[in-house]
Amino acid sequence: MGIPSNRVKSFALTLFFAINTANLAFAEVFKPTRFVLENGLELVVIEDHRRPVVAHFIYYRVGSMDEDPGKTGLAHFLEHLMFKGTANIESGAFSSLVTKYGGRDNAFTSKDHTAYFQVVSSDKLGEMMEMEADRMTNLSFDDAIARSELAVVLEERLSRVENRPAGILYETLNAALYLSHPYRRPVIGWKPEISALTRADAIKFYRTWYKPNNAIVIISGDVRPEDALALAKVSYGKIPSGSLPSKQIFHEPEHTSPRRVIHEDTRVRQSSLQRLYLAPAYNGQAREPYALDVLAEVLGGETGAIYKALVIQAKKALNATFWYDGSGRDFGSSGIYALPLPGISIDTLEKEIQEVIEDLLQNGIAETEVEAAKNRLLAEAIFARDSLEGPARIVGDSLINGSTIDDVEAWPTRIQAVTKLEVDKAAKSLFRLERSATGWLIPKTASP
Amino acid sequence: MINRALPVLILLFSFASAPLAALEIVAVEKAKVDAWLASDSTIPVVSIAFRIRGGAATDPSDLQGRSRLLADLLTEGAGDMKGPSLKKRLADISTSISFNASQDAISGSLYTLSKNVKEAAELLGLILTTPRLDTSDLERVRAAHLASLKTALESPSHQAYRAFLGAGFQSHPYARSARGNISTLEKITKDDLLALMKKRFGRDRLLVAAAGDISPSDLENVIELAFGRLPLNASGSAMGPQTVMWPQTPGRLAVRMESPQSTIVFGGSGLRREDKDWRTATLLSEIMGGSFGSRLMDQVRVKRGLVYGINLSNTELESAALLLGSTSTQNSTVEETLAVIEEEWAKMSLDGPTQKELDDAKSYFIGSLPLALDSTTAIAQTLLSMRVNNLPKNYLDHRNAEIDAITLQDAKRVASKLFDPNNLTFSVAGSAEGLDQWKAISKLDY
Repeated sequence: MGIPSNRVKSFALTLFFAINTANLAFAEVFKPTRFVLENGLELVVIEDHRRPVVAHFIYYRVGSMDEDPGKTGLAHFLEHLMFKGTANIESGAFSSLVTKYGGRDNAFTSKDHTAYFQVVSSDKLGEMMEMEADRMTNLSFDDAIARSELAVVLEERLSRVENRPAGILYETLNAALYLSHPYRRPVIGWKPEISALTRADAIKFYRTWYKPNNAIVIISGDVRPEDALALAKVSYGKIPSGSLPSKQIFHEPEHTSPRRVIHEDTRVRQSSLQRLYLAPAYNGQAREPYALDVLAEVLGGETGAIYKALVIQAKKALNATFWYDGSGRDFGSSGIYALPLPGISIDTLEKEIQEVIEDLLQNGIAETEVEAAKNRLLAEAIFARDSLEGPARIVGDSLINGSTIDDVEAWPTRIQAVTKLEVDKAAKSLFRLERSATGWLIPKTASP
Repeated sequence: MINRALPVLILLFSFASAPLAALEIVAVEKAKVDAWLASDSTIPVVSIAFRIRGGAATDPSDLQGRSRLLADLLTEGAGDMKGPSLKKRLADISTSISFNASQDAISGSLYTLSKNVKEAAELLGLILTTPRLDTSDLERVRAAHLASLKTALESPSHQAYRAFLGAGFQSHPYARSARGNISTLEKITKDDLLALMKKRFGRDRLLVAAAGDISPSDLENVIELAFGRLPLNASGSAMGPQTVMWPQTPGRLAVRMESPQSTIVFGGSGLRREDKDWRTATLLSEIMGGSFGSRLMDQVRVKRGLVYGINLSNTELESAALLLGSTSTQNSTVEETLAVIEEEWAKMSLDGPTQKELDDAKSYFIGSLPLALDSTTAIAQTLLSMRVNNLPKNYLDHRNAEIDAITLQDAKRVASKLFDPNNLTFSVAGSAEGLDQWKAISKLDY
């Protein structure tokens, strides 16, 4: 409730880019500096000298979509194992050192990428790069460690999925949205497949994908680009490049029929509806993703048209929103989330949502709404700079999926250029029921 | 996207790390409101953090949830601007204003572009003095709170915390949830909310901190616009709830509910900010249950693979302090997890930390200072925390020396008290085996 306070986050969700030659440099965002080492590793530096601190990220261009069939969860399992030491450093010692320095470290895995980061005082940057480079090639752990970590991952799965009815619904709904594409897999993996993962699986995956020419290092904070480059050369620069498997091209077949998932659960007391649409990613020359960013700003959130129509005017929903996220190697993501008011059936709510969408498709979006949304998005590009980790993540998430620095910097210009007609057209192309999966989360009465 | 570790959830108010000495803090006074400011014009944004003393713990027992309901309703309309138009205006000037109610205070924040700060401050002033609290908005926000509470009631985490705090605080308001409960939420009226504002919303209960691209003189104008029309003194009594100590009630509480994984909440009495050993307690809780490398993370997650995350922290409220930890594990490994925690607890009580652990923890707290200030809002919040804790502006000049001065002897002395086996209560919610032998707590249904 209240005004969304996660401005930077909403920017992170929307700031991903198409490759477009028109760089008008209307308003630069992060002014990053990019280098490529001889071994193919990309280095990007975003300067922020407000405090003597840095965020050091490494992104690998490998995620859950790159797992072999039957090995779901492997990319994420390996992410956990990357903290288990190398020939040169004991298990857990990297993290302990970061903590001792007063810093923080973590890692995250998505459908498209796996990333690791540390936030530390700037004088520790060289050491972080040495240790991150070390575990790019020297990872070392035994079977017992792998088995124990697998148990941790299964507990994580329980917390994220089995323990949460909404987590169970989402996992099935996501699998229903994609018919063939590996995006249908949960990043954490299916339980029986996680349980069967071994140390050998993880090592093989690691040897295949963890190479300097498959990685991007992003540093934001108090460091000069040339100093960061010198540090990168003596750490990452020492690792030879390697051969990478050619990326498999996936062809998602034509979607012909809407999907529906109904999850009944005795633990549910408040029903909810979630619909996912097949959505384009920032990819190639298309302007559509920028138009969808504007569409999401017009429709989503508490000031959005969906909330206004369903919550305030029709009084059918407690909450209702729409989102679009253009990040992703092959597809972005987009959907609707709504909670029915007590006494309103979820079926009624779904019909009401559909009416709102059809009305929108028929009448289009008001020009003034489009302009106001664009202005709000442009301000997000300023707020996005007010963070240490945020800029590194935005740039990392963009570059790892094929966008360029110019794309990142041109985001405000491209948003500015979006027209009402483009937004209407993007909405028509997105809101197709046959390319959607609709999920209901509803209470189940305990059987007698 | 999934992370390797869950961020630590902060259940109650906790003291944010203080800023590094390089942060220049000036005091600005206007309209009998004094604010602290750390200016920085690098990025054209301004963040203002403020706090009005008196929160959920001061809600009458038949109006539980009132402070939080008000906090969410304030931005639903003010003056002649109804909900949608107020929110639209805020969005169009790229301004976030939000409120939250903890047990001890209603806090607010404003974040905007520096070019819009004047209008943002005017809107905040309108919200603080003439909120609409329209029936249709009240009903909508109430319904959302009820829905959120109903969902929470089915989560083992919510139930485990409720049982734990209930056993510890008993009849004190801290035993209650700031969310309120279903029956009280249902009966709160607009008059109740207006009465609350009259009681609490005065400049005498207000603390303000600001950071970002704003000069002291511009901040004076902002203070005047945002807070100048609040009454000088609120009508309610100045005192919050009476000081309360967490009773020593070691034991095991069980909330039986259907869940594949149980949540365990554990801990006991902590040390309050005013306690001379407070800093030592924060170091000890970091050594025991901080991030990777802490004893519990090492023994429970890394060595045995029993859990995904486990944390412990010294948590301060205005009138109490807790040593509060939590973790989740599948039902069949609850007993084993508890046994490990108990063993580590006893060990820490008996032997205290090692010199190396103490040195590393000191190094962590000293090094984390600048890292806590990584955004304009983080800086404003940090200044506000210093004010809440009555710290002087030059606190930072002494902070590191204060940490450095802690000896191993101090740490052992405080550890023997904090980690006394009698200062360890467990509350488990889920379908764990063996729960039947524990003190049964009914699953809250309201």
